[in-house]
Amino acid sequence: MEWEIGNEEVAVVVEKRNGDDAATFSLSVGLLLAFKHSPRSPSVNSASTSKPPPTLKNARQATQDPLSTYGLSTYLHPSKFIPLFYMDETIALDRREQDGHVLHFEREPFIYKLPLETLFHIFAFLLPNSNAEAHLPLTDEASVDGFFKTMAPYNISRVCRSWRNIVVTNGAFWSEFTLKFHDPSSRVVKKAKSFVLLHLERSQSLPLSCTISLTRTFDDGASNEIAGIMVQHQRRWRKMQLWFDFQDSPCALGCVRDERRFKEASEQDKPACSETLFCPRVRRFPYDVKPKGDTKLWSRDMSLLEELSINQVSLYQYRGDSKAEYAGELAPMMSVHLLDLEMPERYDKVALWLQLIPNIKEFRLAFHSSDPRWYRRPNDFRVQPLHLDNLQILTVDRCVSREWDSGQLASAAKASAFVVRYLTCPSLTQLSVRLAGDDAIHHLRDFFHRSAPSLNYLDLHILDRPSNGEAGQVILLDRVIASLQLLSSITSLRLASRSIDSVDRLLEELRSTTLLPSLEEIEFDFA
Amino acid sequence: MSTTEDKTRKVKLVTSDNEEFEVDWEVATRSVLIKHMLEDIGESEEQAIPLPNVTANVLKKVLEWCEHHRKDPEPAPESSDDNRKRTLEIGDWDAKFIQVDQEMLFEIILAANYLDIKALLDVGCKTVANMIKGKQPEEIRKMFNIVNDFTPEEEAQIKKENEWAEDR
Repeated sequence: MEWEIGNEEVAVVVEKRNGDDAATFSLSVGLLLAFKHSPRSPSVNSASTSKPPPTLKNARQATQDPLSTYGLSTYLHPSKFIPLFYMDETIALDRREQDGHVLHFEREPFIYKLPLETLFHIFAFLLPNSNAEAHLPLTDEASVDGFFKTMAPYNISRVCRSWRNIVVTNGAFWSEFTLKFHDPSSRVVKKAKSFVLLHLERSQSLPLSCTISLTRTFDDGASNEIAGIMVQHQRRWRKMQLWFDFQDSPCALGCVRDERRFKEASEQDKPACSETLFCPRVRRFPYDVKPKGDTKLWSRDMSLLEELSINQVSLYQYRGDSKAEYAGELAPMMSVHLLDLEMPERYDKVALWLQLIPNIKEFRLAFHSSDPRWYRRPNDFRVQPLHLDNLQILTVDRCVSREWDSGQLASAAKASAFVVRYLTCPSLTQLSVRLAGDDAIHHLRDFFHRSAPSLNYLDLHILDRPSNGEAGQVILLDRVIASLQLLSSITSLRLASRSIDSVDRLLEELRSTTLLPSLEEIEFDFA
Repeated sequence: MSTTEDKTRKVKLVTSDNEEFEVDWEVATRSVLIKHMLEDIGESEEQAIPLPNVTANVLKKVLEWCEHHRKDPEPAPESSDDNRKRTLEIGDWDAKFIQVDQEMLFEIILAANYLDIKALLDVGCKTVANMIKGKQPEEIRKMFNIVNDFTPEEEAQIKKENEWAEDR
């Protein structure tokens, strides 16, 4: 792109912000032409006659001027419109920043032309959508500092008065936020607390949609404190994801180290912080010991809550304020349709949560076994079967902060066993479970029989061999086929197992048109 | 609901600087404003639609966008709450289309707002949002030539409010 530039003088008004007097500098075209030799500047050809004269209009119609990004493409002298173009942007910026000088433009910035509602629209795009946008947790201190300075609405609120007024006086800009830190220092946790408090204050009384994730923190007191702050505002919860993870710190939970086991483990080079070294001693802790802080869930009025995702379920006691609630008569949360729980392996607790959420449509469950607050012998569970009329999507998964390992697979098998033993879900369309071989034999078909769902997607992972040897394998395959026979609506099937040596019979059945007649996609993963 | 006859119809648009554009009905009616005006004037093909808030060079750009998106489905009515997913992603063609200087960018946004072309307004607003995203206040000011008009007292107050974030 070539432009003619006449031999005219161009003025740039420079204001010294820290001083009282503003000075005006004149830059000659000769000076500007000196910039043209930078590698990125297009040529400026004063001799060319074939190009149009340099008018503001055609200059702006040209391809994007790199300087325009910085608002430097047009400097206005009173009564003159002379484009200065293709000055290397780096040089331009360096010059601008020299001695703390900041360019002052006589013309109103283009962005000021936008009506208020359009600015709102732009700012709204900058807000984190806690459910749609994936944010990686911040890990280092520099990233954390940058986060607080560059995150909307903080950065917007500090640009100018008008923007600040828009942002600070509108609670909607503060009622949605995402905070994800991994392995945070106590300083970062302190900042996180201030961040949460400011958002809660400025969001006024608006419904809250928040994600707070402090993983691998060694200070469960801080997690408790932040959880407690959020719980105080639970009547405003709409979409809430609270993730606190101090899995590697059982001591922080009040466990007492078993010295004998610990010594044995050390000799065998086992991890020093394994929960197995601590849990045998936690029986002395009372059932549902009250955690630090006031983290009672379920006040009477949580009618706004639609989605809830919490991983340390045992941090919270689901008790309200009234006598009736203390007696266990908790008001159901009719508005909740999505529940995502990571919790210790307690069937009775899962059942209690599900009873409180009768309109649940989507449920994700992950078990872990490391929290001694809820330790109880498995035989102590008393669970009544549950009928979940509206549940459409059910996923048994691993805990998000953990990898699939033998412990997580075993926990997932227990969670899946809860599903097939105790639940009836007639509206189910998507199911993902990981079952032990024996549970698949004894409960899978019954679950589908009593639920009679119009299932579209099934992800079935059978984790281990049935206890009765080769005969068990045959029975297992029979039961799997019998279960599939009840699911004629399935379009997508994923079946994984290292427990079934031969799937010939299953493949043969699938070739017939009677088994899974609607099937479109299939994925097998066998040993 | 558009008819086959509508789709072959031509529409005349007149800009604020008196330039006339003749475009396909399907292209012009990406603008809800023009669509409603066409419904108001009925079958009269000769009558030009005046667009007093849009200049020719901006309308040319807007029509380029409308031409490319002429077959796009009608946008769904905006929900009353904020459930719709917000994303800053812009399609490849739109991203290239919106690579213009700042003045044109804001003119396009203003025109999209006036003409009621929600998808184009979103493209413009996302572009500006992407320019702001992840930047410190001073960088944003530089980007858009915004003057820092806080008084020293206000600056001190803001600094105090944000002490917790600045603390090292």
